[in-house]
Amino acid sequence: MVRFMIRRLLAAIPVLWIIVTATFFLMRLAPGGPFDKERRVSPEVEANLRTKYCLDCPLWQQYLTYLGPLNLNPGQGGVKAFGGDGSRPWSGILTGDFGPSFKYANRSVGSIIAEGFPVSIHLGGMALLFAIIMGMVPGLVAALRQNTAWDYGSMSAAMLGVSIPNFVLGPLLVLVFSLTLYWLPPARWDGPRYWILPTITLGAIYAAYIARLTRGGMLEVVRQDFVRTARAKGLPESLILWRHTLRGGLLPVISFLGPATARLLTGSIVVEKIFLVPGLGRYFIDGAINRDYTLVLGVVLFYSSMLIMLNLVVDILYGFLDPRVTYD
Amino acid sequence: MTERMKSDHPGQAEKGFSLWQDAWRRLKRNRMAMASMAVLGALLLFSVFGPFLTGHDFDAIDLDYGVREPNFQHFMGTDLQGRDLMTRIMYGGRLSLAVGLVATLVSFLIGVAYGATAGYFGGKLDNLMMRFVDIMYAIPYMFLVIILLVFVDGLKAKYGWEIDTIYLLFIALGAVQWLTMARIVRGQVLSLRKKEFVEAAHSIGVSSMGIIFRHLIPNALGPIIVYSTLTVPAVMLEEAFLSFLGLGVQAPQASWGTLIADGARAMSVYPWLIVFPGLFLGATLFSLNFLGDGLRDALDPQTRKV
Repeated sequence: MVRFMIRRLLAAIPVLWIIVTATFFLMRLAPGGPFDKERRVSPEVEANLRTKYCLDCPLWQQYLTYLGPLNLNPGQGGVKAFGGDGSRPWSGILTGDFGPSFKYANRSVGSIIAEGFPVSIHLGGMALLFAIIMGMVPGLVAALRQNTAWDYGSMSAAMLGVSIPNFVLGPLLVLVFSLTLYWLPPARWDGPRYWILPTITLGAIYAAYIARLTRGGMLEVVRQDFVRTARAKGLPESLILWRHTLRGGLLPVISFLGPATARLLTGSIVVEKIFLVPGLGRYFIDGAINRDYTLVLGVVLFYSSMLIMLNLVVDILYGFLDPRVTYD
Repeated sequence: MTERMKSDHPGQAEKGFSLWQDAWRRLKRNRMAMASMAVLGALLLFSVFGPFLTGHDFDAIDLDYGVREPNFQHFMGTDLQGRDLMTRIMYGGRLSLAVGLVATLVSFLIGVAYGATAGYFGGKLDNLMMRFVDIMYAIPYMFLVIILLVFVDGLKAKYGWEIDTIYLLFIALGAVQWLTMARIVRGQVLSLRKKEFVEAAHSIGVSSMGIIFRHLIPNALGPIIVYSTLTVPAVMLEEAFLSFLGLGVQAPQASWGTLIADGARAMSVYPWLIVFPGLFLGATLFSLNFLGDGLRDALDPQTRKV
């Protein structure tokens, strides 16, 4: 088990390296720079900034500086061999330094992530919780009352949920609950009343998927021999449900949760934009459009690491739930 | 099931049905799937031929006329620039459907070729190729697509290229959708390649490529078709998502994503601007999902036992 985890974490290193490298060169080789849209800065200031951030250095030098651990940027106290004064020899992501943001003056990418991520995970966590509850309950009811009105009703609702994109659902919810009924605020993130609409918008599609998976998984399991055995032993139905069918029936849901959490992160880009939620997704879009290289790289790297960790957690969880899974 | 066959065809129970005939019969009995097919057909006709019939241009700006509620000249109203919304939805439908179909085709070609190669040759090559797929899975690809779009946008601005973003979307979205397809095809091929008919083909000297394309892939076609049907709505959703963020289809062209984005900005006063495009996108995705589900029930032997 420990070996399995170590191997998976080691395997993540080349993946992250590929992601960083690909993102870095795609961002840097694209024409246009972070100062294009900021016409306010004078040419001298821009030249200063370019020197400071080493933007005119050869690309490999910028790349190695970004990667670390040696700071090759002469403008920011890099090592003496590259013309710096050696006051700040270490830098780069290997030292945990994501660098400064180009767009948000005087702020480091690390501090932007530290500020935006709690909001994103708050929104994502609530959406996930909403999706699990609103997905599993109808899914279970549909499976236990197969081919009744409950079944058809909840599955039709789920199909509808799968088909409505969050960027349609969000504005429609705002239209109804904020602009027509005046029940809930249409945007921002200032308190529980503000959380409701973004959470539903982000979570609805996952609730729909989970409902379908729960129903499918349960129906598969109730036909299996060990359930018939349990029933033959005379176990009460509730015990069969809790001890036997639920455990196997929820496996598809569990394996869905890993990729779902990942998509929850990307999905929240749009939801954060619609509801003006100050999370990480908005920074990413702004960063990509403004060529804020370091910000985009930092966010991509951060999300990728999260994703890899989440997948590992799901795999471990899977092993606890399904005795047929072994780690080797 | 045998009972049904007998009652449908009394006196000719010996006559077999091919997989496809059988699947088609199943599908025909699935009313929701057939309704979805009808809806999709209608949407296709609406988008392709509709613009010739409305009598409005999708990009004819009429600021004097301005934004109007749905009325008898403009069944779905007009947008802020006085353009007929229905015509724009038809044009948007062309783009959205085209992206969905072409990107799915791209993912289909890459995924099938890749998966079949890995599954057929097996061993080390298979291991290597599937590890690569695993790595690709770990990448939050939507971020990479966004970065790629920004990258090409920069190139376009600098060198004055005249490529439509839409071609880029075809490739970028197709290129990230092939992974699951490759896995499915590999699994199918892996289980088929030891079968007797493949051995027979080997023994009469059919080449590897011949076996893969003539024998293995046609036999794995069921799950491939099902997955492709479900890829179309996924890709359309991604296109709309990117266009909604302003990274996909660019003005004056319109896709359902950009129409929804425009509508969302103006919806507090002019709600029809978001309701109609949202309705069309929702109905299309709904039908495609239902059709995909119906096809799976009809074609996939694993779910057949129910």
